[in-house]
Order: sequence, then structure tokens, then C-alpha cells
Amino acid sequence: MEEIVIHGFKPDLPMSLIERVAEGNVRQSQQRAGLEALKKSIENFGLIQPIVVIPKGKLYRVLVGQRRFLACQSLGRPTIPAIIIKPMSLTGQRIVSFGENIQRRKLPYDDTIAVCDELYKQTKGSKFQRVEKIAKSLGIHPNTVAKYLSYKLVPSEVQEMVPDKLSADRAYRITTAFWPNTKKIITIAKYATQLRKPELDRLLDIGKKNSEATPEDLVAEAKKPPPPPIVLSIDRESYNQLTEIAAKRKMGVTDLVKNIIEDFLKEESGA
Amino acid sequence: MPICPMCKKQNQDLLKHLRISHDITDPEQYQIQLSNVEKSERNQHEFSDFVSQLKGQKVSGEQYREAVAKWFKEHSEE
Repeated sequence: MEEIVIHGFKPDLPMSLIERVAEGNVRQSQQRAGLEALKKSIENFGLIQPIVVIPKGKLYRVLVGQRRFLACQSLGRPTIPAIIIKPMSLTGQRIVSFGENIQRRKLPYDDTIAVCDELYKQTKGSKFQRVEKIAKSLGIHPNTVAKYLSYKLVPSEVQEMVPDKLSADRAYRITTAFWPNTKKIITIAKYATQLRKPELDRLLDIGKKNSEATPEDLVAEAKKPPPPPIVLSIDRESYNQLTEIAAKRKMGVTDLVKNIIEDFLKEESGA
Repeated sequence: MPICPMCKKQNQDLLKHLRISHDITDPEQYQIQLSNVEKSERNQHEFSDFVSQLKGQKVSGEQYREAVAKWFKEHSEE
């Protein structure tokens, strides 16, 4: 196994000396995914983590940190902090690059919630200004900040189940459906780990209508075969109107139609 | 669409609304704030009924002011 030998560190390596990305860099696709957010972060805080380059003649090639390099290039930065390592074989380069990419883990769910919550407490301004400010400083969309902030309402026992046993989305949907009954949210979350998506969807639908039902009853009901689907044929104009309304409400057309049917049935039954 | 029990506004995402608009961070805090809202609504209804009754009794302005002041004193002590 080839060892990495650090040759030096340059806090301001001229961008003009970086020829291109090294052949051994394994990130060959989606290099520009999330690049705008990264650019915003670099604009706000600078580049915190140096890139890793290997010398090639008088120039350098990027082995680790291709996206950071592209972001700085796009921002027109004249220099970039870089760790220079001694040249190594192509296989060695690939192993180093792969290790760097594969070992990097997304910030854990509960840490993300804690960071956003802390920033929200410390930021000044109106509620919406605070969300906007945090979004700007983290380089993410305000809706994403609001989503992370509302994850705070997911009971801590359920937060601990994310992401290994339960997805963040499932945890959030269960909490929404049974809020503020913490005990029920936790019990349903435990059952949800063994339910398929359509079963959980049915459980949440039934649960919203029958708030008195026990978690066990809800699971039993959700596991029953679903009723046959209803297929509707509607004219193009009605479909376009529904799509428009659904987009305004930030939901899918199917969910909108489901809501309309539920509201109609409620009205008919006088509830 | 769910309706917020505190401000009665319709919201697609109730949890997001509770967190951002009402600064709710846990179920206990939610129950406390909700019970305060319900208490305030009850008071408003009771006061409205009380005023309707007073108007029906055709009391003088002075008697009306005294009765209203007495009502507030009694209800603020609760």
C-alpha cells in the first residue's frame, strides 16, 4: 500500500498554477451538484479546508477537493489553500481520492437539528428574517432551514432512530400525524420500521381520522389489503387547474384530490 | 388542510408553522400555549355573553361601566 507523503502546505497557491484535476480523482460525475451552495459558503466564510494537489512539472493537479477548486475558480479567486503531496501512482491516487469521498458522512440528523436550532436562537430579527439569515449564512434554501427547525418537534426517541431505522421524512410525517401525543408518536415510529411505504401511508391516513385508535389497531388496519384504486378521467382544463392549485399548496395532484374527497366526505357526514 | 389550533390559520405543514410562527419546541410548551389560547377564547366568549345580557337589561352608562369593571376584576383574579 502506497503511503501519502506531504511535501508542503501553501495557504495561497495561485489558481493559475493548477493545471486541472488529477487522473486519479474518482469524482467523475455530479462535480457541480450543490456547487452554488458551496460557493455561497466560501463567499461567506472563505475556504476552511485546503484541497490536496500533486505536482506535475511546474504545475499542480487536484487530487482531493475538486468541487472546492471549481467553486473558487467560479468565484474568480486568485489563490487557494492547498496541501501538496508527493507524486504517486495512479492506483495510489485513486485509493486516496476514493477514501476521501467515501468516508465523508453527511452531518448526522440530530446534529443538523441542533445546529439550526442554536443559530435560530442566536440570530436576531423577525421569525422569517432569522430563517432567511441562517439560510444565507449556511448557503441553503430558507425552506430547508425551516424544515430542519421543525424537525426539532420530532420526539428525541424518534430522532435517535433516524437514519438507521427510520428516514427523516417518515419520522416527520409520523410526528405531524399524531402531534402532540409523544407516546403515540414513539410507538408508531417503532412499528413503522416494519411497515412498507403504502402501509405507513394508510396508517397515517387512518390515524388522522381516528385519533382515539390505538397504535396496534392502526397497524392492523394498515396491514389489511387496500381498497381498489379509483381511476378518474377529467378534462385537460380541470387537470391544469388542479395542477396549479397543487403547486401553490406545494403538494402533489393526487394528494390534493385525496384532500378534496376527504373534505367532501366530512361535509356530507356533518363532521 | 390542517388548521392551527392556536391562530386558526390553515397550514399545509402544521409542525413547520408551529415551530416558526409560534416558536414551539416541544409538546409540553405546545400544551401550555394552547391552554392559554383556549382560556383567552373562553374569556372572550364569556365577556361577549355578559355584555349581551347587560344590553338586554337596559342599564345606565354608569351601571354598565361598574358591571364591566367588576367582571374584569373577577376574571383577572382567576
